[in-house]
Amino acid sequence: MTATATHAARLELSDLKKLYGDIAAVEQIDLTVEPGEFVTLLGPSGSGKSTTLGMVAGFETPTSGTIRLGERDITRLVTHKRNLGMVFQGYALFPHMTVFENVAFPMKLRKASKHQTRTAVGEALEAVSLGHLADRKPSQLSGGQQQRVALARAFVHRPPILLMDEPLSALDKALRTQMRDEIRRLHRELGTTVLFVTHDQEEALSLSDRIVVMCDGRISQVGTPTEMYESPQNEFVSGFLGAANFLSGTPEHVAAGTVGGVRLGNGQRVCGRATVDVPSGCTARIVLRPEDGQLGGAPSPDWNEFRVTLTELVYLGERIKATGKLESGEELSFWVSHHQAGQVAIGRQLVLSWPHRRTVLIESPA
Amino acid sequence: MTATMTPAPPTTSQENHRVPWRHRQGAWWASPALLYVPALALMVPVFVIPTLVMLSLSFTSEPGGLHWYVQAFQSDLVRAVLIRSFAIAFTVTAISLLIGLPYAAIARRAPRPIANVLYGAIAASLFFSVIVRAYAWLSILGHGGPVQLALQWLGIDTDGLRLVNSPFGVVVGMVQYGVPFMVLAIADVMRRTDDNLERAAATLGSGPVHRWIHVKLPMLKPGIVAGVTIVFVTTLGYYIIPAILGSPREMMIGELIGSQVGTTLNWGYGSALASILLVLTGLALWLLNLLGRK
Amino acid sequence: MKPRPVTMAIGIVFGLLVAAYLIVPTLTVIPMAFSTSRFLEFPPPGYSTEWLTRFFQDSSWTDALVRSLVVAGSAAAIATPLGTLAAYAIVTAARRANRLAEPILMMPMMVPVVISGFGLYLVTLLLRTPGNLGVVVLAHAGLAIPFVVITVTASLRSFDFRLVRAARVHGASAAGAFFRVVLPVIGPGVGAGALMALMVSLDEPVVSMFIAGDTAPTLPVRMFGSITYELNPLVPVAASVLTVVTLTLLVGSLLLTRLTRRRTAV
Repeated sequence: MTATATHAARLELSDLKKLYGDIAAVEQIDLTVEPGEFVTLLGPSGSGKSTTLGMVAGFETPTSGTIRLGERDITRLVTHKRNLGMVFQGYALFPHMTVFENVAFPMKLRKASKHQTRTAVGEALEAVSLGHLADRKPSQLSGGQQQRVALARAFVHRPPILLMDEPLSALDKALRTQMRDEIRRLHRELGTTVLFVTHDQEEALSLSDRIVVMCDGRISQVGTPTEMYESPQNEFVSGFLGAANFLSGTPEHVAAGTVGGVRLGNGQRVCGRATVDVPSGCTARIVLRPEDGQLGGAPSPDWNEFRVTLTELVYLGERIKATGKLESGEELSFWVSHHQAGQVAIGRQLVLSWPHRRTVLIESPA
Repeated sequence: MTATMTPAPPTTSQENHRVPWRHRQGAWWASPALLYVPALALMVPVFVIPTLVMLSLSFTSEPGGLHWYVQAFQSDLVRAVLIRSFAIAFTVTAISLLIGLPYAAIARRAPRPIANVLYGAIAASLFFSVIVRAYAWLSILGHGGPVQLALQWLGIDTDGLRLVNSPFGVVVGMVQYGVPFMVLAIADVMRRTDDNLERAAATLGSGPVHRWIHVKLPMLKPGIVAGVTIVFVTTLGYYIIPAILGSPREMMIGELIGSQVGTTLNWGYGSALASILLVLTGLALWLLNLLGRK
Repeated sequence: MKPRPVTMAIGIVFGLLVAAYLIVPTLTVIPMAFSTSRFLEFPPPGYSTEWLTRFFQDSSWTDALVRSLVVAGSAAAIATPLGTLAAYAIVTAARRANRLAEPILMMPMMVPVVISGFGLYLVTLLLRTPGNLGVVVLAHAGLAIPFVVITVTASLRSFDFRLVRAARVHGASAAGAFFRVVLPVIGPGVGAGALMALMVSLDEPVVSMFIAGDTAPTLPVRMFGSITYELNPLVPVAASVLTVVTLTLLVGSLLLTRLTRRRTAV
C-alpha cells in the first residue's frame, strides 16, 4: 500500500438541520471527525443517522447548517464534486461491469491515465485479496467477495473520507465478524477518515475511535466506545449500548464524575457514580449492567446489595439469564454462570451485589 | 408489454432496498420531472391540441352552435350505431373476461413448458398485426371457409348464417384482440398477490370455491378492472376490425366517424360524432375507475 | 395451493384451445400467400410462388412496404429516447409531476385512434399540409410512446437505484450516471421498447390513412384498401411479410426481456 494518512480530511458538521415538511429528520448536529478518525453514527432506524450520512454524501440538502470537508464548504456542492468514497448497504455494485471495471469507475471519472488506473485498481484489489477475480462479474461472486469489491471501489481513488452505510448488514453473522476485522485493518493501513453508519452496537464498539449515538434526529452522546459503554449519560444510550437494568430513586446532589447516594422507594441507600450532574430533588435512574452483578452479599463496603425473589431463568447457552424481583416490584436481570446454576431456582430469595463504581447514576428525563 | 407479462422472479428481501429514491427538493433545473418535457413536446401538438381543435370544430363548424350535436342525437342511424357499439363492446369485454381470467390462472399454475406456451401465445398475439388477424378471420369464417364447411358437414344449414360481415364476426375478431390485454392485466396482479393469503384462508377452513370468491377475486379486482377498462374502451371506438369483419349496414361508431373523414367529408358532423365518442369513452373510463377504487 | 390433477388437466386443455384461437388463425395467411387461387380460399387448392413474385414486382406494394419500414424506423427512433426519458421521470420524479404528465403520455392508449387521427387530419387541413409522411412519423411516434414508457418503466422498477447513488458518489454527474450505469443496465428493456414502437407503427393504418392515405400509403393502408374495396390475391403475401417481420420483432423482444431480467437481478 502506498497510502499515507496525508490525504485524510477533517469533517465538520455545524448545527446541521434537515426538515421534511414540518418534521425535523435531524437537527442540532454538531460533530467534528478528525483526520484519520473512525467515527460511527449509531442509532435505531429513524434516528436520523442515515439522513446525516446522506447530507454528507450530498443525496440530501440540509435545511440549515454547514458541512465542511477539509478546507472546503461542501454543504451545497453536488455529490459528484465532493470527492468521496462510499460503501453501500447491499454493495450496489454495477452489475454490467466486471470487478475491475467496478473498481476502476472512480478512477475513470477522475480522468486518470490507463496506467494510473491499472496500478490503483490492482493495489486496491490486492488490499482486499481479490486480485485473482478482477475479470468476474459481480453476480459470480459470493456476498463477502462483493462486499470487498465495494470496499475497493470506495477507496481506490484515495478519497479524503470514506462513508459506510450499514455495509455489513447484508452479510450473515460469521462473515460479518470477518469483514469487521477486514475493515479495521483497512482503516489502519489507509489512515483515511471514516464515517460509518450502523444500528449494530457490536460493530460500533469494535470498530470505532468514537461513537455518536443518535436518537430522534439528535445526537444523544458522543464518546469513545469505553466511555459510551461505561459512562452512558442518559437512559437511551445506556439501554441502546448493551443490556441494562434501571432502578428509580431520589438522589442526594451528586456532581458528574463523583460517587454519591440515591434512596430507593423502600428507603435503601444505593451508591453509584454519576456521569452527569444529578441534582437533589430530581428523579435519578440507577443503571446496572447485568454482567456486573454478583450472586451473594457485598464482598466489601463499596458494593450495593439487593434482595430479590427469582422470577425467571432463561438458558442462553454460554450463560443463564436470571431475573429477580425487588420488593418494590422493579426487576433486576443478571448473568449466572453454569457452575453457579445450583444456587438459583425460581421462587428462591437471593442477595445480589453490584460494585459502586460500576453503578451509574443519571438523571431521569421525567 | 412483454416485459410486464411473464412472471417475475420471486421477490427477495432485497425488494425493500429497491424503492427508487424520489427527489425531495433541489433546484428546479435538476428536477427529474424535466425529463418529461421531450415526450410532452411531442404528445401535446400531436395528440392534445388536435383533439382540442376537433372538439372546438364540433361547435364552430358552419352553421355552428349545437347544430351538429342536435343532428347527431336526432339521427336514428347514430342512435342505432351507438347502441350497437355499446352492445358489442359489452359482449366482447364479458367474453374476454370469461376467457382471460381462467387463462391467466391456468398459465400461472401449469407446468413450466405449458406455461411458456400459454404466455408465448399472449406475447405473439400482441405482436401480430391487427389487419393481418382480421384478414385471416375473413378467410376462415368467410364463404367456403373451413368453419362454414365444418358446420355444413355437421348438417347445419349455413345459408342464413353470416359469420363475417356481421356483428358475430366483429365479436370473434375483437375477443381475439381483447383476451391478451385482459390476461396481461390480470396476470400482472396475480404475480403480485401473496399465495400465503390463500394458504392462510385454507388453514382457516375455506374450501376452493369459497377461497376463489372471498379471497382470490377481491385480490384480483384491480387487474380485472384494468383489463375490463382497456378491452371495453378500445372495443367501443375500434375502427379496423369492425371495418374488415363487420358490415356497412351494421356499423360501429368508429367506422361512422371514419366514413365522415374518408367519404362524406363532413367535418362538423364528423367532429361532433368524434366528440360524442370521446365523452362516452371518458365516461366509461371514469365509471370503471370508480368501480376499481371501491 | 395445488389444484387437483383433473382440474389442472381440464384447465390446460382449455388454455391450449384459447392459445390456438389466439395464434393459429393468423398463421393461415402464410399458406394462403402460396395459394394458386386468386380468391380467398382456405385451405388453398394448390401451392405456387406466383403471388409472392408478383408482390415483389409490383412497385405499389414494394413502395408501401419500404415506406412502412422507413416510417416505423423513424417513429421508433423518436419514441424510444423520448419514452425512455419519460419512464425515468415516472420512476424518479415527484408524484405531483407524474399525476400531470402520465395521463397525457398514456392518452393514445385510451383515446380511440379514429379520434386522434381525425383531430390530426383536421389540424393538417388547417395548416394546409396534407399528405405529409413526416406527420405520420410524428403521430406513430406518439402512438408508440405509451408502449415504450410501459416497457422501460417495467425494467426501471426492478432497477436498483442505489447504483445511481454509487455512481454519483464516486464522481459521476447525473447525466454521467444515467449513461454509464442506468442505460447499460436497462438497455435490453429499452431495446424491447423500441421493438414495440416498431410494431405499433408497422400495424397502424388509421392515422396513416387519414393523413397520407392517397399520396403515400403505408403497407397497412394499402392492405386495408385492398381488403375492403377489392379482392386482391397479393394481400395474403403482404400479410405474410408483415407476420414474418412481427415474429422476428417478437423473438427479439423476448430475448431482450430475458436479458433485462438477468441484468437487473444481482
